[in-house]
Amino acid sequence: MSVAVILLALAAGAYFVAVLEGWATHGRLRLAGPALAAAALVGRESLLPRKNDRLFFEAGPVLLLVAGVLAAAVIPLAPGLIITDLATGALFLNAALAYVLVALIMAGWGPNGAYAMIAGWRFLGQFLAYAMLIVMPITAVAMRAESLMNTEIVASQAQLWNAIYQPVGFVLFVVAALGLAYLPPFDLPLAPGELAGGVEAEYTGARLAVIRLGRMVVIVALAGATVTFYLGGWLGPWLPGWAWSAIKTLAVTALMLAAGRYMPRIREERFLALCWKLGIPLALANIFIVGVIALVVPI
Amino acid sequence: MSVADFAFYVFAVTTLAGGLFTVVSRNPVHSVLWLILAFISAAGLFILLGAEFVAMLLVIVYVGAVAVLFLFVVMMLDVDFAELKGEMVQYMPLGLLIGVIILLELGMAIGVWQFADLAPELRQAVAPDPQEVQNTAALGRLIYDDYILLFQLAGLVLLVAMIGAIVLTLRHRPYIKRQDVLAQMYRDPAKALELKDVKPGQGL
Repeated sequence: MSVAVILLALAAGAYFVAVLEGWATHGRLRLAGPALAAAALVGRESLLPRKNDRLFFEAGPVLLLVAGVLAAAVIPLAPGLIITDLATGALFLNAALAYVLVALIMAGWGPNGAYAMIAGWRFLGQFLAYAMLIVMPITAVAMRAESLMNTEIVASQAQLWNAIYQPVGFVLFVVAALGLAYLPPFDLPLAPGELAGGVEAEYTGARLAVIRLGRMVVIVALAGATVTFYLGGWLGPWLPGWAWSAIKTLAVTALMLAAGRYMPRIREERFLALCWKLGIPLALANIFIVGVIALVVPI
Repeated sequence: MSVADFAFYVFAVTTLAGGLFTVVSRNPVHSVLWLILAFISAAGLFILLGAEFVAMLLVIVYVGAVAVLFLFVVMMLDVDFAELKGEMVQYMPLGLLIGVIILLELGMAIGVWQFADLAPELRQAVAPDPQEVQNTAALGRLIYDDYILLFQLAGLVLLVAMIGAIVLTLRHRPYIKRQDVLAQMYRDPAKALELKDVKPGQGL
């Protein structure tokens, strides 16, 4: 029951992300746009590049989608409305999202194309930058909740949202999430202006539809994770829990899509320097401060 | 055969197959992917043992490690299979010799292995009861309460290794062009241009 509800919610969320992204890129709000685009893609011929690596080429998009769905499996929409409430849910989310890297490397290597491969390696560089920043803020969140269980993390924010309790961690997590979902300004793996679509360059037809859907699902899962860890999940007055989760998730998605829209792309080596020289010390300071606050004034 | 048994055999077989194909696969990039499969299956085995936390860490940490391996495969190995094969024939006897020695040593070590009296009980005394304490909490208690000094020592050793690696590879190369954003921004015509007054009918 809750599995079906959550998968439906995930599909609806991914659809809305696609609508929002279409709005952001083309400047026109078309509710039917993504459905029409998907239908057109599925109807199109699915070309195989010459001398491809068939296994990687086929498995890359599917693995991206699977990683997103697995990550969404531990995000609670409301009390009891969660696919599996693992005791190590916050870590499981990371473990699932780690496969985004593998999927993109496979999608980059598989088609035997220079653009795709360069984009795959770019994402690898990006991974080395954001990997620590997506785990370390969660450490501070789990310290406050005294649990890695996602429902308990939400319950621990009944008094005060984590976004106010640990704003530094919140900002770092959102930046790392932008890097993970290769959204602007960290969209060098796609880089429509120079790499002709990057990892998506050689994909057409149904495979392209799957790889795009996978990315939308990853974005929704990341927004759901941000809401769970920092914005109090289903907590809120008047409305039922699932409605609050949905509203907050959509708001975070819109924020993530809008954040880098007017910023220049950041080169991988600058992103690396930013993350390791500024981000990680800040994340460590965040963990320390949250620990001190949790010991002195437990809220 | 229960579900857990079945799952164990599936994970065990995929772990072994992943490891085997990591070694025998002809394409290094495929090898790395097989290695990832072996890691996932090993994580599954840990979950079957009830060690969720270790399983998650295995996946998170080793995908990062594998990412670096990817880098090494493509940047360091100039994949030339004919040359690789020629070298393999050349080094085969030495490799076989080392392999046989390691196998013999392993066999000897396992052959004379003796459990101390009360070994299982001693281990049991340290580990908290898995029925009562949650896996992550139990690990935390062991690492940060009981063995904190050993843990810190291990961290120190790793830190020394890291610093050593950086010191060994850090070279400041002055002739490399670097971008200096501030220098670019504060560049003005007065610094970059020189105006010459050229008389008509003459070149410079």
